[in-house]
Amino acid sequence: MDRSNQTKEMVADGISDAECVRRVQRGETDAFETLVRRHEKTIFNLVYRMLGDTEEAAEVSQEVFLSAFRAAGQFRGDANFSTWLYRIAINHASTRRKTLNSRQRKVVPIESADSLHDPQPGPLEILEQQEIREKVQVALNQLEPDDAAVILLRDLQDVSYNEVAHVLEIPVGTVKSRLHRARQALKSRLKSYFSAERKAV
Amino acid sequence: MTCAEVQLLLSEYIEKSLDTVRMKAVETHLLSCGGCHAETEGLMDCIRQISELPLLDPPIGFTQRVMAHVRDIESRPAGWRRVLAPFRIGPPIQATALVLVAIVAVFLYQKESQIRGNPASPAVPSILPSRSLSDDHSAGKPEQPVASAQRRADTPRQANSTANTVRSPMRESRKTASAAAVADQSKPKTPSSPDPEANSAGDVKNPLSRRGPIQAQEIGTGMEGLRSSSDSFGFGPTIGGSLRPGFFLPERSLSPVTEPSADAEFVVRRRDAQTRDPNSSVRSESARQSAESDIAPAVAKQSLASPPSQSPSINVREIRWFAVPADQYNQFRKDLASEASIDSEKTIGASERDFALQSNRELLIKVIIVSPAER
Repeated sequence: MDRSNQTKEMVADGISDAECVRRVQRGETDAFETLVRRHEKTIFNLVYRMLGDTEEAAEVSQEVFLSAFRAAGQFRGDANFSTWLYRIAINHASTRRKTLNSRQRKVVPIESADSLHDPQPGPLEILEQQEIREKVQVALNQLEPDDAAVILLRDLQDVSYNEVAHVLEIPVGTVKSRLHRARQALKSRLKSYFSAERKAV
Repeated sequence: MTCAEVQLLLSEYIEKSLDTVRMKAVETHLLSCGGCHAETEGLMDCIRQISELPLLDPPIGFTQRVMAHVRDIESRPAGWRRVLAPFRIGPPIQATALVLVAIVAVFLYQKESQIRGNPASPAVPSILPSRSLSDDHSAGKPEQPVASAQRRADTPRQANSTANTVRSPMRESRKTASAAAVADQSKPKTPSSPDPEANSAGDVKNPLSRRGPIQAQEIGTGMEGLRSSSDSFGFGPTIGGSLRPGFFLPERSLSPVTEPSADAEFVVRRRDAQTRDPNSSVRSESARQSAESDIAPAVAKQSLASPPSQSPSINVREIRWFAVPADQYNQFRKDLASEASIDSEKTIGASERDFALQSNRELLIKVIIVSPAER
């Protein structure tokens, strides 16, 4: 998986996130573009998985970056920029989730783009994988936003326990117990599907 | 190790983040416990499902859009403009709208007062004394011309004094202003004025100066501001000459918002013809009567003709504004008392008056004239 390598790529082009932030703080707005390009995919996917809707995700992700820009002066560099950005993203996504839940929540179909990322799947496999992903997405959206966030950070984004602890501003021990609780909640929601799958096999 | 203990460690066991001792212990338990083994498989499945979710690309042009907004934020001034931003309306539009609303409001207010004022006008003569206050500038002037033609010839002098007063700037010393007024009064009444400007001013004001200020026709004309000062309220030359026509604000243009705060306020009641003007000499009385013989009987007739109960103008009040030099305030009040009975007054405080005297300020006096019938 390439997602864990993203941070290393960022430093590869010579300027670290911290340096970019310092330039933004000095008024070099173009440096912020570098930060957006580096983190847009991570943030967009995190938000998308928390909301289950690409349009909502695009809108919220944009808000995340704009909030980060407005608050760039407050970034002191004692944490990773990505950690800071994750925190903003989770806050925004959680708020949007509550708004969406308070309305009549529409059933969001998972777009077919999901299947295009896998190498050479047969037509039957595409259907099956798509079905599983839809179930997973629905299950994720049924979790508490905090539980979904901890699962996505750890299992989707491959963020270390320490960084998750920084993002959520909770101790590492709490991260572990919350992650365990969240995974079990997700598992019980997917249980019926998996057992049906096993019976079919 | 019990199943409960193992279940708590399963997540870390799957991630292989446990220390070797506990890793071994969990592994041993899982080999012998089917339930915990199934649990572990379920969790691993779960983690795999999440980690195998494809990463989607953000929408095309995402970065450009974010940066466009960022540059928008950067170019936008902070503060209240940011608050207005969601409305997508610039402040000039809002300011224009506000000004328009204010103009319409003032216009409607004036319209309304005109509608209320106009029906009263035709009937007003019935409540007025047959002798208008306007005739009283003859009071202190025994040599007042008898014929109306002569009175007309007298007008340029009034205009002259008016023009003199107008021309003297506000900051001019009080002494100079009053001296000019005195000089005007002491001037022999030659019909021709050396000042062409004053002459032209007199020409303009001439027809208006013929009217009595409290005659009913004038309530609602809005022409009070143009009235010759010496003619208004019929005060003698001492006060009349020093009154500045510019301060005769037409009451209709005074909305509650624009009305200035008066230094002193009088509520006066018009007197009946018989009780008014005790100071007038017999000569001036006869002169006045002959001068106004064309007006007064008509008014008197109207007064007799229309019973007061039918008159809708019974409650018409007239408001006059006067600008009086502070040192002439007492004289003004005395003259006012001789002209009409003062119902109530809110006079200026002594300290305020002293300050006005020192600063050469003119006092703004509001006179509310009520008809004798009004309670």
